[in-house]
Amino acid sequence: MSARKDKEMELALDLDVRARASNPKPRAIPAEQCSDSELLVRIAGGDRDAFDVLYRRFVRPVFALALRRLGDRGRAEDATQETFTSVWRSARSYKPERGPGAPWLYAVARNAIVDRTRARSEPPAEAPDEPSSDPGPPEEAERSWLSWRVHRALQELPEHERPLIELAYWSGLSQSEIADFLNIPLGTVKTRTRSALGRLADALEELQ
Amino acid sequence: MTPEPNFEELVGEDLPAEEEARLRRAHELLLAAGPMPELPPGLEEPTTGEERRREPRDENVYQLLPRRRVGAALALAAAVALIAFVGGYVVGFRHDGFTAQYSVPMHGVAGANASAKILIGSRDANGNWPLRVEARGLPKLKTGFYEMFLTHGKQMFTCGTFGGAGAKTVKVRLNAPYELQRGDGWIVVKELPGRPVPGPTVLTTA
Repeated sequence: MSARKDKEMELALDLDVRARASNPKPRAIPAEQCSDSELLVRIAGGDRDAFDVLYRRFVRPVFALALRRLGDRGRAEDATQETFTSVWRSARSYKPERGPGAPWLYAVARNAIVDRTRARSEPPAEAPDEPSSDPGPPEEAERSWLSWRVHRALQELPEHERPLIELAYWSGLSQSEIADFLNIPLGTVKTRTRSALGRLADALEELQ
Repeated sequence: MTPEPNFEELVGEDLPAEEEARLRRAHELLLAAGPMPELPPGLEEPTTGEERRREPRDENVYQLLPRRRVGAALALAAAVALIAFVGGYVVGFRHDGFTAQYSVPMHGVAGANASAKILIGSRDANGNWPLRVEARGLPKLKTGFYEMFLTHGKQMFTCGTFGGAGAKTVKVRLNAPYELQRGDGWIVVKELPGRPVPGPTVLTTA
């Protein structure tokens, strides 16, 4: 009886192995390793982990875009939340064959920001007598797209490189002051900064 | 206005011309794009929007986690958790005009000869926890200041900023408008004005 049971178990194991060999299950790629496009496809299927990864990648670029366009942190925060709510609800409308995910998300963010702009209750400003030197809508749109791409690329830098770029470009610190601030050797600061610029150049190649 | 960084200082002068041109273009794009702003606390946690509809939150208190359980019976457990999560202890004394309910020790990171004590007062009706921080061994910074955060995993919730005083003890009043028992520790980091992300950690409760 016992020998028969063992035999059945062996057979069962053999069958299982054969089944796996003939029909291997694809191993799911971790969300962190997915492209923007793959994440959107997963979100369309209700994958919350994919949403969280996409959120971390894009929340700062979206907020930066909203703040640039709206000029108010509270309204920019609302527009950012609305953007990701729309992504969660309407990721099914994203078609990977039509292009990568970042431009689609940019369009969603732009729509949320435009909705916030329309929601303003302030009366329209009077037309100025002098022509404005501010950039017109096409220039502003181009600048926003450029910032979006650069910020998206910055978010993709490794954790040990991104702070160096942010300190060098937007905190006014010299390389030796950065080394002092982060308690790392000056040579490391220089190596990592050069490496980060190289990565950014790769990521932004199509903008060049 | 922040001065533009010197490209030659950033990359050195020993690059092949083609590589230098490539990096210079990235440099120019960074300058044109400008900095990314610091995220407000409300955007730190990913939300699909569905959570917000289900759980309207108290405007005066930032929650560190979605509220899943409700009940006043947890008050005692919360107080215990508040102490346990940072290894602090109940004190309940008055010191320099500050009434402390709890005290939490902090130590320097990577062998730094710095330490601090966080005294936590009683939470007010608006959800503010008054804090008094007594730190020693934090050098005066030529540029920047120190900032204390309550942490929850990778998230950080600011409690205020202060300057160092070297060997002397610096005593400052800060505030934490959060549900403290949901946090998992405290840190103090170096900061620079206008910098979108925190600098290196100098004190921690971990």
